Amino acid sequence: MTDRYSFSLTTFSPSATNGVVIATEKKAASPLIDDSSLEKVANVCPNIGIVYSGMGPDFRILLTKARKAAQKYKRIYDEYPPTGILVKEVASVMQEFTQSVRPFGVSLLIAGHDETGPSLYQVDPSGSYWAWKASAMGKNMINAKTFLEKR
Amino acid sequence: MPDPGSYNGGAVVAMTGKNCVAIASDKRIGIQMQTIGFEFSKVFPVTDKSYVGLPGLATDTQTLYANMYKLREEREIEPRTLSNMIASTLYEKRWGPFFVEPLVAGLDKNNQPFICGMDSIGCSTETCDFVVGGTSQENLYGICENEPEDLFETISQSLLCAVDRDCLAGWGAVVHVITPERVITRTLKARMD
Repeated sequence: MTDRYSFSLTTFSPSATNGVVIATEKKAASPLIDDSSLEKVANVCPNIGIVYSGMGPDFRILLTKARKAAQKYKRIYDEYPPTGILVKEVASVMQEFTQSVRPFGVSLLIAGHDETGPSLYQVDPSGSYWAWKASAMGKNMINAKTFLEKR
Repeated sequence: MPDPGSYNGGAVVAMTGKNCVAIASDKRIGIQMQTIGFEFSKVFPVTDKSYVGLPGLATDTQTLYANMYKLREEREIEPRTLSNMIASTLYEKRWGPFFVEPLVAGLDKNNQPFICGMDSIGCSTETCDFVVGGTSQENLYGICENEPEDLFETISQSLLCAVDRDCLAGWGAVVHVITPERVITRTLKARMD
C-alpha cells in the first residue's frame, strides 16, 4: 500500500524578486510513451500555475476543481483569484477528502502572481499549506532543497 | 401593492471630483405618501474608501447590505470588484429581484475615483461624472447635468433641489465625501415637510 503512494518526481520552484518559476522533470515510465501527452505543469488561470508530485490521476481531479474554483471567483468578482485565496480553496478540498475513502495522493506547488507580487505555496494531502521563498518536492527533494538554500 | 421601487421612496446620488468621490442620500423612509421616519440613510460604508448606496425597497436595502458581510479575503475590496460582486449577487435573483438600484462610489488603490450604478438585476453602468438613483432620479438627472465646482456643495445642492421636488424623498440628507486621506460625513438639514 505504501508503495502505491511513494512514486513521485522532483519539482522545485525558486520564487525570485520579480516573478516565480516552477520546473519539473518530464520523465515517462517507458520510452515507448508519446511524451507529448504528458502534462505535469498546468495553468489554473492566467496568473496561477500548478505542479504536482505524486499520483497523476489525482492531480487531474484537483486541477479541474482548482480551475472551476478560479472561474467561479471570476464569475463573481470579474477578476482572477489572488494566489492565497486559490490555495485556500484547493487546500480545503484536499482536507475534505481526508475524511473520505482515501486522501489525494499528491503534493502541490502552486505559484502565482497577484497585486501583492509573486508567491509560492506548497499544499499537502492533509490540506495544510505553507508559503515558500523556494521549495522542492518529490524525488531528490533533499538535494534540491539544500541547493536552493545555498542560493 | 404598487411599484416596489417607489414604495418607501428615497434618493441617492454619487459624483466624482478631483481625486475624490462623494455619495449622498436623503434620510426619509415612508409607506407611500406617509412618512414614518427620517433617520434612514441609504448609504453604507463597505471599506474605508468604498461606499454603497441602496435606494429602493427598504426591506431589500437592509437584506442586501446584511448579505455583504461575506468577508473572507483578509484584504480591502476595490470599488470595481465590489460593484461586480453586488451585480452578480443581484443577478442570482434574476427572476425575483431585490428592488434596489445600487450605486457604488469609492477610491481605488491608486486613489482614482470610481462610481457606478446598476439596475435591480445587476446590469451596471460605470460613469466618469455622476450617477443617480431612487425616486428622485429624474430630478437629479436634470440638476447634475450642470458643471460641478466644489464637490460637496454641488452634490448637496443637487440632492436638496431634487428631493424638494419629490414628495417621496427628503427629510434630511447625509453626504460622504471620500478623499485619499479621510471620509468627510455631513448631515444636511432639509425641508422637513
